[in-house]
Amino acid sequence: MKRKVLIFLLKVAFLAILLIGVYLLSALKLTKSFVSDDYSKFTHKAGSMILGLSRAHYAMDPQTLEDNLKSVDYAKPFLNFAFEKSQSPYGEVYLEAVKKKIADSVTNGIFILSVTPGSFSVSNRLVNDEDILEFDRQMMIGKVKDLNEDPNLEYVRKCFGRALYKGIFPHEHRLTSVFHSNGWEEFKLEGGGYTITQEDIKFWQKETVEGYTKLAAYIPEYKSSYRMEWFKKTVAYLKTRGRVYILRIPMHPGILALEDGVWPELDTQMEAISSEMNVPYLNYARTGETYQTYDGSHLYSQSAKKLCTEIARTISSNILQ
Amino acid sequence: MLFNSFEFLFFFPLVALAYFIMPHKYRWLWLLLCSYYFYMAMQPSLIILLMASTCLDYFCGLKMHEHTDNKIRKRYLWMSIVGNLGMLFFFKYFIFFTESSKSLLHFFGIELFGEGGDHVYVFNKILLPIGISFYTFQTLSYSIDVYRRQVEPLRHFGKYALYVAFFPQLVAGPIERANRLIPQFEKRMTLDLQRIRRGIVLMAWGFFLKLVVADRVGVYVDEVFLDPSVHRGLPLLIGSIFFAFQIYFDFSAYCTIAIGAALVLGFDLMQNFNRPFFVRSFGEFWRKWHISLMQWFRDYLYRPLVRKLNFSRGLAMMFVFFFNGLWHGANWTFIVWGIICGLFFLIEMVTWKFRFKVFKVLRIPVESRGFKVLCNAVVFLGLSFSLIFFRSPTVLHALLYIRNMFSLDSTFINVVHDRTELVLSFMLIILVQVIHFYKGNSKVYELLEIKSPAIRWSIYISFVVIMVLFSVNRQNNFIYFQF
Repeated sequence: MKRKVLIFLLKVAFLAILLIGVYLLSALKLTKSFVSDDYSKFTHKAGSMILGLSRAHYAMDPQTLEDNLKSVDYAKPFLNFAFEKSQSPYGEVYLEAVKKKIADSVTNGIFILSVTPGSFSVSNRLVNDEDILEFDRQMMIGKVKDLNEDPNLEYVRKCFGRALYKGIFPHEHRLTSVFHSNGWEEFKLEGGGYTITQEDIKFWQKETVEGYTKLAAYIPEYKSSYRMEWFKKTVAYLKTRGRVYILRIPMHPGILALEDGVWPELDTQMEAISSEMNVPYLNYARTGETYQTYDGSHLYSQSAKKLCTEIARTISSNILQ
Repeated sequence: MLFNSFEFLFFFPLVALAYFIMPHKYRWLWLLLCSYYFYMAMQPSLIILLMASTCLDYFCGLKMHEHTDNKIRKRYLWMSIVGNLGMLFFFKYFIFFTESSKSLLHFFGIELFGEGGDHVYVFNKILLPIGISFYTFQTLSYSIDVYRRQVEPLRHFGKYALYVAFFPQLVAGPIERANRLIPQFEKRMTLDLQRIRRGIVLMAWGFFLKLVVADRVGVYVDEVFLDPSVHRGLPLLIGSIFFAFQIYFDFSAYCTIAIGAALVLGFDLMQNFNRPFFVRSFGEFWRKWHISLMQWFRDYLYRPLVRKLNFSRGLAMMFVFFFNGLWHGANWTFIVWGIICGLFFLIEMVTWKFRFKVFKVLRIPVESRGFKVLCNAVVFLGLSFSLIFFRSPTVLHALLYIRNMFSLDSTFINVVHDRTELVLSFMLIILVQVIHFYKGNSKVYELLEIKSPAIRWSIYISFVVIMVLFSVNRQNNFIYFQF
């Protein structure tokens, strides 16, 4: 009987080892191909960073910034560490993640903090600071403890919401997007044999304005003092590690009108924080005619590069002053 | 602890190994400690409620047995009923009833709690204890059975606590009766390798149903139910059909894992599903779907209503379906779902004689395969339709879904981001249904009881590889956890 049990246990152990082995191999294979929009933000430490939501995720190209900041001495590499709305509003969790991302020796980084009403808003369901903190802990940057591991299997386990066979048969993603290792998602108007027309853009912009309006009705939000406080704490912390810039990214006039409607005093508040904490506020919100978005809210490739060039110029003149 | 978590992957083998190494007399204690740990891994503080429910029914059971005077016995029965249902009401339905009453009174111009409704914020902080609907119903069945003298009360408090908290079926059933499960705690479980193998196969099949099939189908369902205003026609119809499969695979996956885990340890839990999608009538469907709950309603609600309170069968049935809906959640959507299911059942019950006369006159071959398939399709579509309410967050949301579903200008553009996954979902649904048709969940291990080791091991290895590569990594809760 003992022998039979031992053989049985060996068989079960073999299958368990097979399971773990196949899992590890396929997860590693996946990390060698495309994992997700955000995976590259979880694989290495950074010297300088861009923080914010999806608007910064699309608009801020670290490479263009680096190319135009050659005359300035600052810590590299530059990383776009901005995520979509539910993943990186300002708060304790985001600040802790930022602290983990910055290389220990950095004291001369450049930190660009993009602001939108979404960065400081909270769903009505979240009543107090504990609720918000608990909510934030469920975000990717809250779930993944090691943010600088390459390959990052913890990210694959906790945040890759698809099946691992996608690593073997490369899976579909937006044909017109290019995902850079510095965290930037470049949205092109052409790619994979697909061309986005001006009609598409007009349609998407209209959809976004309608979508935002609908979303505000479906999931009502309020301006959170918790988020604002942690934004200030983030600025204060980053000032100890380098230079900080607050940025408002251009958008479609329709979206700007919406934002002005829900939060007319955002610019005034940011200007106040800027002078109080002695950090420049780069406000491009009302330059929507100069920079083009593909959906009303997010800049596409050329405009993103143009904006980054402009921001780099402003930063270098600010630093070299 | 979730069955589909990494923690469970380590927890269960450890529990099973230690269980078989341990002397028989300590095994109940080991299982009880593990069961409490299993629960506390999710909601540590709410273990108090589980313990309170255990103490209450243990005490009431003994007292009912002690007294011969029916008045006193009834008093203890009521103590158990009020205690359990009171707990269930407070933790699950209080906010719902307060809000609904407030809206109703507001309609008549009466303001409850004044403006602002700060009370809601206070009560919103009340956590819904996981599995409360299951374990309160299980303990209630014990008290009622003791009152009816159908079971002897258990004097061993620890074993009674284990009956309430037995971890494989603690949070989502099956709702076991005392006379089935408690005697098994006394049995000396042997190390039967055939039984353990079968248990492991059942667990593996449950994981396959959950991680590969239900969660995959759920991706599409989540997409269409998120905002039905942007979809029209076919995508919504597919969404409602997919949800029927998703909830079936998800819940039956949980039960299959529970049954498999219990079987490894030597326990025989009851079947909760018996091929419910291969039925010819709504009546047959409800005899094969969530069997432990429907039998609970039959024994403790329907029969007393008909036999003691002289309700008509139809009215009693509507009560059952109303409470069945309410049991699932504190939301009008569940109540509407329950009522729709009740109406389908009632219509079927009232018209069956008439229907058979019509079929006879029209010479429709009711025993033919084609007719059976047609009946099957009607029941399935009716069920899928009712489940739109079950899945929607509000009744208005469900109505919008239904309105847009009947629109003719359907387009897939907004829904299908990944065609491979959609095709895979269809194929998996068909595959699982074929297996269920021939074997059902409970006998699926028979498929692997093949003499040739080479074939058997090829299947094992392929299964492991498929599980790893095709599981959808969403770490989703089982749908029935929320109830």
